[in-house]
Amino acid sequence: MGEAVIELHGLVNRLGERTIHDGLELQVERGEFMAVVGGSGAGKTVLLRTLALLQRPAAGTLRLFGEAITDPEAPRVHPLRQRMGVLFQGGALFGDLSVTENVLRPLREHTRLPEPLLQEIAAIKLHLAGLDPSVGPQPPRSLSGGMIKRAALARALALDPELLLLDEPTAGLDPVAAARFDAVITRLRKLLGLTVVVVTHDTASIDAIADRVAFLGEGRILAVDTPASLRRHPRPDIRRFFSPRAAITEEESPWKRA
Amino acid sequence: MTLRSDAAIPAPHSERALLLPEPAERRLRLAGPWRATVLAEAAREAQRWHPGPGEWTLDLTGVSTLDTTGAALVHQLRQRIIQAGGTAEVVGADDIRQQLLSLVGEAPAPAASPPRPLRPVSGLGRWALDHGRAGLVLLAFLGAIALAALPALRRPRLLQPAAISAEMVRAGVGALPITGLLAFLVGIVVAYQGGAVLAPYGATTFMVELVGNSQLRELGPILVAIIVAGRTGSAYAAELGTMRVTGEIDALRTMGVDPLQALVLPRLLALMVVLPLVTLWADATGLAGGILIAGLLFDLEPAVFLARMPEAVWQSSLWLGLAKAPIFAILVAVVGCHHGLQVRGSAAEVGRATTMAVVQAIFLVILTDALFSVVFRQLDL
Repeated sequence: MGEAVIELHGLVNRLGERTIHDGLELQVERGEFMAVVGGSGAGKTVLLRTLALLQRPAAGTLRLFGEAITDPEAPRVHPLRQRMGVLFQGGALFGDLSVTENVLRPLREHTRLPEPLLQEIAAIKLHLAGLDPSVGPQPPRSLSGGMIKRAALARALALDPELLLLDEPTAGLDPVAAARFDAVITRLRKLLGLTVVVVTHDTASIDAIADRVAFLGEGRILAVDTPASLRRHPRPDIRRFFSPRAAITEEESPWKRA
Repeated sequence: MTLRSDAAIPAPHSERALLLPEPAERRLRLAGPWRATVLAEAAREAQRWHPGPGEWTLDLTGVSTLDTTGAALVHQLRQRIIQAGGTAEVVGADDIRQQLLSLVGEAPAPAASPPRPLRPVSGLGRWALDHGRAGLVLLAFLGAIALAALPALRRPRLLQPAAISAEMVRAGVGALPITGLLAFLVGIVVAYQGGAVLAPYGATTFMVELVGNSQLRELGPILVAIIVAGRTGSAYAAELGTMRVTGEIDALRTMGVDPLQALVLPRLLALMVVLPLVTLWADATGLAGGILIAGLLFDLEPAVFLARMPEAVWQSSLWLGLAKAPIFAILVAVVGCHHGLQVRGSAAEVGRATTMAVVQAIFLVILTDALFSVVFRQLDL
């Protein structure tokens, strides 16, 4: 404990001319559950893509598992990818593979385990993610939205990653399915010692599972604290993010009252 | 999915998982990191190992890390001991590892993938039926387009002139450089090969008949139709396919807009208008190529070539060639739009639909052209 899995210092990200992040500072400790929140377009997904080594930062330093990463494409960085699992917002399941083969894709790439064991592992991962084994042989296009999320989670867990990156895992799920998803993550986290970074809008989910919350805005991380303390944060925009209905004021109303 | 990343990069942990059976003490000692990436040898070892009955001990004290894959193997070993009539006790597992083992144990058995009944004969039969049905569906689609066009007879505004003209620019004007260049080159090839045969007989003046008739009657229209099938037919299939995947087609339907009328008809009409024009252009550049070669290599002056054209080239060649173009346009546009609208589900289907559209359109264009040749010959045109 106390060892930082993720360290960001002065991280700058640009997409074309637009500066998305202008000096991010963030540390995520091993075993921690960090939620990243912020308004639409605040750069949450770009941050997650940077952590997943899909986006090359324009400036600043990024350390994953204690290793400084300057070039995310360098061969030296490659083994780090085996130590993290990513759940993409839309699932990003391979359409031409069955669900089972989707889960086994990373295992087939990085291990040479015998086939019966592989099949058993796929069934275990599906079970961990809360899916029935009968889903395994089906193609992803026959699944519902919630099942796709869970199948994608099973795939992200395939190599038992130390770091799990989740992009909007509960978006588009009904409250019961979202709560079940949170329960799955919490249980896995305890058993597998996961470090989790999750991008989400779901404040109920944050309360249930997050240790700390990083609030992104104005290209920086405005606050990092527990969900409870962010509710009492001096900045009103942060406080309001956590208020029950994010009520809007009279001036902000898109229509003028008659 | 056969992508393989650089295999030369070493695994993050060079240590391996070890499986050390001690049959005398009925003990199975596990050591090292029992992690997915370094487990292959231990897993193979486990397959070769046959437990005898007895009271076995699975000793995990030497295991440095245990992940779910490792736990799955431990569970498998335990199951096999039990099946062999023995008992298995796990030692050296703390609370977390115990939980992991029981979690792995509670997972249900994997579902067997459905058998694939792909025997050669039944496969061939299904293939033939599928293709027969696809032909019928295409005919039905043609009928649906005709029905969708009916209201426009009374209200021409429904045909969306703006959309049609934009489509004409895209499919027609955009195709001018490539069709012109290719027809020019084909004209050169025909003149060159024909001239080489005619020259020994001193009959190079007949190059006008050869180049003129073949270009106007056959090569021009078919070349243009094939290029447009690859260029525009594929675009139609991909556009409409993507619109299906993203739900835009359904969105149109909910607004009470008929997708056939809004999307298919403008494309079809634009192509029908523009394809004869592009064919005329390809005829001209093809003749230019022929004239160039005749003048440069076979001493047939361009002025002589042009002067002989009216008598050498049958009137029917030009008109038949141009008359075929709208038919080819219908084939290309209808097949392209049809495959686009047939897309179900994922983006991968769009690629498949595009390929199908191009292959089928080119096939139908050449087949139709062959039929035309026979019919025109019989009619003595």
